[in-house]
Amino acid sequence: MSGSFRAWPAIICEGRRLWRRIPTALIPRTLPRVAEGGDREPRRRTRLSTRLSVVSVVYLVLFLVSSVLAGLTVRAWNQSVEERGVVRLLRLDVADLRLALSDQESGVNGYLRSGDDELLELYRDGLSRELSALERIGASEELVERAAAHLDDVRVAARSWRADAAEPQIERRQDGLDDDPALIDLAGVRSEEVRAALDDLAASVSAEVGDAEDRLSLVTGYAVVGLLTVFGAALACSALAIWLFRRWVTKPLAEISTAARSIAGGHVAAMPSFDTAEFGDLAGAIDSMQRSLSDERDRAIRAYQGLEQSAVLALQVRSELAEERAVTPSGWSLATRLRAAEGFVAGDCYETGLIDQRTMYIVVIDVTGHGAQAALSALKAKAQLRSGLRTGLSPGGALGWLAREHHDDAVDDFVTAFVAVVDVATGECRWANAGHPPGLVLHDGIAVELPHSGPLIGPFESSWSTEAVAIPPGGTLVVYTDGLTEARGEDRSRLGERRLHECIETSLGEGAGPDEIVESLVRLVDEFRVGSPTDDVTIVALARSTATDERTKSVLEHAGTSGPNNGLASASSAGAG
Amino acid sequence: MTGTDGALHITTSPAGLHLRGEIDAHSVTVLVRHLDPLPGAEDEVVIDLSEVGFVDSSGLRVLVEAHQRAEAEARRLVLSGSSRPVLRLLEISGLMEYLHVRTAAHDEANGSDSDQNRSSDG
Repeated sequence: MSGSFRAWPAIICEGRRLWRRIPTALIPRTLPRVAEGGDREPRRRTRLSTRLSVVSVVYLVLFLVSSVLAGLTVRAWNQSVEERGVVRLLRLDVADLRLALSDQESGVNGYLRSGDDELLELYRDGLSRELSALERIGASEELVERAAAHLDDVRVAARSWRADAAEPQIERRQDGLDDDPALIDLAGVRSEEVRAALDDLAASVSAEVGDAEDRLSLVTGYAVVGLLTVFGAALACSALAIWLFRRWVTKPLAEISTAARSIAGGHVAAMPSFDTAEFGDLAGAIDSMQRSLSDERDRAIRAYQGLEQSAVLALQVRSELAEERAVTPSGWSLATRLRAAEGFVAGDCYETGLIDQRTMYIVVIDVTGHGAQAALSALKAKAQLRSGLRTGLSPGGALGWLAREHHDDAVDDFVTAFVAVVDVATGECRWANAGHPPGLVLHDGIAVELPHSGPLIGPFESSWSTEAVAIPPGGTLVVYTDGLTEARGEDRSRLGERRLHECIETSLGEGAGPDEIVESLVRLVDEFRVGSPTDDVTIVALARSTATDERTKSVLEHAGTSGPNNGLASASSAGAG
Repeated sequence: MTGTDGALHITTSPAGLHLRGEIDAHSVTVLVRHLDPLPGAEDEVVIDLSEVGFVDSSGLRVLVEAHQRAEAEARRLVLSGSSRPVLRLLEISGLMEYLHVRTAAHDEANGSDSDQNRSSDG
């Protein structure tokens, strides 16, 4: 024991060396403080949803205004086209009128010259066409005041031509009278007046047509300009919307992604600032996540460093825990196994040895908890129990002494321990059990349990009684820790005591020695367990050979149950020596 | 309030806690949070273990510590409805006479009852 304590300075040096090897990259840099005001100028944040709503409303209004404008433009253009059509019809009517008047004149002149009645028909036909043309023109909506006046002139002039010249001439001719030169002159004058009025009317209608054409081209121009403007405005608005979207949504997202990737890569990223509340909140959330991750990492690194420091120590302790194996007296055979849980230095340990030539001891200890602390507690408990036994304390007395020391040290750990002292000549086994899984004495297919003779050591003040049991020739004492029975199998089931007993009995039935028993138990737990072991497994098996010693019986007859502190007088002197 | 850690589900009631699952080194941390400080204000804190299939030594330690805290506050921590494996653990560790264990068969089993329990799994 003392040898290992002398090695501690070297262990500490090793720990320091390991500490220096921890890569500095693992240690986080200090985080730049972001958000929550402070060194940053406070920015007015508006909600992104508010902004998008405003943009949407503006868009809607623009769309409505554009639609109304486009509608109005198209309607005005339609009207102009229609108006132009009507005015063009008016011009055709005026041409009709002119034709009707000229037909009348031709008819009258022809009739006067030839006396043919058919020509008189032409005159009458022209008259009726004139009247209907006049009516059509007069009814037209597009007839402006000036043209209407000219139309009246035409009507009056035509009427006076007929009344003053044409009709009297026709009557004279029908009466068989000769032409009246005065009438001929008057007819010339009147028809001149008609032509002049007609020309005026045509001119005004033509002007009207021109006006309509002008208006149409003007409206067309306006419409084209208006539509182009609306189209351009829509394009500009879309471009603006895209720009705003990029600025408000895409760019912040990209920045956050970059920062998140950087965080994922193990770097510390300063979160960009945003003027929208939503992205501000998101950035804040990611930032606090980063902070807590960084804290976690800090803690993990510290824990890792702590582990590395204690690992060196633990390795040393581990070797202390495992290799205790004494010379076995003749007539006895011993097998032991300590199977460590992966990644832990757990609190199992055991020791077997001789107190004197006649007396052998077995100590199996399990300290609750893991790590160097538990391992040290186990080592300390082992040393104390051994000292207690060697100074003559009974197993129960040694446990009581350990409990008092444990209590004085104010250690939190719970300790369970099985302590046995075996008279190698007689096979008498005196034992005490502090909350440890029951030891087993197996012989001839009968298993005797050695259950607790007091509580586990730790929370309660108590005493531990020492009991006695005989290990007859061919008998075996098996002591184990709960790592064996609590091994976890499929469906979270536990190995349990029943499987353990069955396994031991099967081995014994096949005539197995302690080595085979320990092997078969290790195999049992390895086959049963799912996943890596989470607790140490310790098994100690002590077998007495079948070569009987006649003294055994007589000694056993005298052996009885002893109370605590009923020490082994002979052992005490030998232990001190 | 309900807490979950792996295989252990904890439900708080006015009388104390109801546990379901397994109390081992992994799940024990959440149990510690529920037992320190002790739940409720009654003189008796009942830990219902009827749906707990397994308790390991670290779980035992937390229960014992809670028991000691209860004693310090002049209260009683009662383990009720313990299943057979849990009773077996209490019995192996020799704690039946120290903790207040209430089983279905007896209203309260501690002290003198422990010998009877001890022989049950021989």
